[in-house]
Amino acid sequence: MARPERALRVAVTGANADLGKLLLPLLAADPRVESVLALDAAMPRDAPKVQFRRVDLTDYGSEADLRAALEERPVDALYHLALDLSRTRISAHAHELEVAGTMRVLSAVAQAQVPKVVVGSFTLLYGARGDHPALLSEDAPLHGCPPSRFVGDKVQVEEQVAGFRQGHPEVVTVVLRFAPILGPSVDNPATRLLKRRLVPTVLGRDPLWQALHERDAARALHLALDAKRSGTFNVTGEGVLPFSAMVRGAGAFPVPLPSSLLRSTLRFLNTSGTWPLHTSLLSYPHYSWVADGRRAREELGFTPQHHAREAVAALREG
Amino acid sequence: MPKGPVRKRGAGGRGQLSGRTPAGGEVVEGAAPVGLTPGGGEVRRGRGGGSTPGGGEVHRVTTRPARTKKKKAPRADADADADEEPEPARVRSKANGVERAERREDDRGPAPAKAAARPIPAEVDLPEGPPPPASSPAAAVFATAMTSIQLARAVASQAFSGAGLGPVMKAASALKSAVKTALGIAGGADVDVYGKDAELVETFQPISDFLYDRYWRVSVVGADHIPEGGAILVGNHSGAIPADGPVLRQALQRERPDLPEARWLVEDQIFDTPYLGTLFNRMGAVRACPENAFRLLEERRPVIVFPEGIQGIGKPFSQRYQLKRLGRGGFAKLSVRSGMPIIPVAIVGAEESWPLLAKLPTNFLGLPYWPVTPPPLPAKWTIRFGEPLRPGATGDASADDPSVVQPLVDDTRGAIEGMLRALLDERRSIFAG
Repeated sequence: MARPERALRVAVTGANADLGKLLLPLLAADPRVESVLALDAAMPRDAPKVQFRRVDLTDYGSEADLRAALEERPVDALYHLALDLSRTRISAHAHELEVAGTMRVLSAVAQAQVPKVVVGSFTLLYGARGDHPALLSEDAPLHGCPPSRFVGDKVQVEEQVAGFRQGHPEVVTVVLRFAPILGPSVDNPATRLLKRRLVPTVLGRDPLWQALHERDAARALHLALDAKRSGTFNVTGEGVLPFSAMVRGAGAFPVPLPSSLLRSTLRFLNTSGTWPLHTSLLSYPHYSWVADGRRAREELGFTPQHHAREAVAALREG
Repeated sequence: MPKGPVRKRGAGGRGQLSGRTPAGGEVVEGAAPVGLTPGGGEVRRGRGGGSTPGGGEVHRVTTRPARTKKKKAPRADADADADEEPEPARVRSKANGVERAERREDDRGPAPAKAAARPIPAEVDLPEGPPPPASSPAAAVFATAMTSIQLARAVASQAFSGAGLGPVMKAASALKSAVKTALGIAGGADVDVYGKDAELVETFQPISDFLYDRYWRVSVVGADHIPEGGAILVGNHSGAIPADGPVLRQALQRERPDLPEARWLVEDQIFDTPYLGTLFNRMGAVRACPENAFRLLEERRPVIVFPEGIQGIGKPFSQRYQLKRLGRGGFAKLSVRSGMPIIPVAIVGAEESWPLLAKLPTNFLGLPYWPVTPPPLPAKWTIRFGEPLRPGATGDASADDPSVVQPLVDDTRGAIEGMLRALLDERRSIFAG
């Protein structure tokens, strides 16, 4: 029996966002973790071991707050999970939170000499393109989805992290790129789209998608705490599904439309309400974007326990 | 409508099932993976089990007349089930000679073992089938009506299960799932990372087998030249509708079952077209790019390449069997980089099966052109595999060296052309071979 190491202290930004909410219970259940410092604009609810420090990453002065919080009692690792996937996304606010917020977090991490940073990201950032190979490795360029700020902001976050990793080799910097996370408790564009009764698809196309069960996503986040070296990892569920199979698996019906008609339909729906699939994201139901989870399996020890089919079926539980 | 599995009597442990609905046109044979319900709903089947999202109701005739023919009583909206195994004549008499058992299953649980053990458990399990009271005249009319309906169904199903129609119905169902796949609404959930839908391929197998064995009568020479552990199969691309990839894959499956399943690479211009590209991908085509080819070779698979690409299938019939430029020699670079041998392949017969008569411009459909071609003609196919060609030097550095790559391209071209000439000289008749 290994002697429990020194009790760990972990900080989490975006503790109230989906990824944070998935991670906190596992940290609470981990006997090695002594306490969790939640850095967010609001206090996370029902979270044992959590100490809360109010930090608004969109605020200009938040870098000093972060630094003070991290220097007051040093942490062993910081999870940066403050990404905006919400329904009521305002792009200026999201840009401030994600791009400027990451800048502030990384700067505070460097100054407070935090030994490890774990950053949440998405396989979405590879973009969906006709010239992708069947499986995208972590070294594939992040093409993003040029018309979309939603994706573009997150690409910028990764660029900052890559720069930070070069400038601070002493900090273990782990980036986890998640496939679409599905499950009863998460809320992101993919879940909102698949929870519709009718889902528009592109006629004559059926791209391959991946899906990650929320429990697998939580496990991967938790495993990153043990990562010894810097690295970027695709975190994907087992298997792939054609988009039409995802739609059917979620209990919805695919409505195939020619792409020009789909574009105008979505534009209409987007102006009239908060339709989950924005016109700028149309390439995702058009082209495949499948990431290779091999590196996470080999180096991080993460093996998904759920097939994409189960992840999609889990949507119905919610 | 409730979604629930259809239990098949006799399904326990025995694979011999077949159901045919006169109205729905659906045929299920044993482990047939995909079925289509008439309402457009889709049925996914496990091997040996079955479920009908569309129907959910199963109607069963428990009567067995003296001759032990298979019988079933499907409804237009319900999936059918049947039992091919001969059973002793068995009549369950109810009032007025109406024998009817109806069971509804809303649960998704597996069929209990007793369903297999006992021949006719329906009435015992589910007493909800309306027992017609014998006494009242209304009931008598009802019973008579039911009997006639059953009789009509029996006659219809007899007609449809006649000798010639079974395979036709099966082919129709396979074509239907192919169309749904091409439209992008099939929803098959058994797909590998390259996009091959195992269920679709299995459903399509009767058609592939028919084309391979009876229609094109493919003969294969030299399949033992393919080494184990991965190889790059380079063939001449031909036919207005490129069937050579799937046929070559099937030839390898037949002749070299010891090798892992081969995959064929398809260039972007075809892979990226709507409908066709989607269908090809689900049938097993892989997008042609170095990453994919490497990954397939790593899996020790034979990789089928047609370097001529769309130039090969887009050439007029007058230029049949004349090799176009072998792309940019990507296959040779792949061979140099991976050290895997090249197997030249000559395919004769595909040009005459699907002669390209004209090309219609169809940019508005997202297709490079629409090939004007007759339905597939029964030309005889011959596939010849040549001796392996090995690169002079291997490694990443050599792959960028034209003096290493180009000779390999020329050798491959020469080998394919030589085999094509020989095969064409040997051929006496296009259709008889």
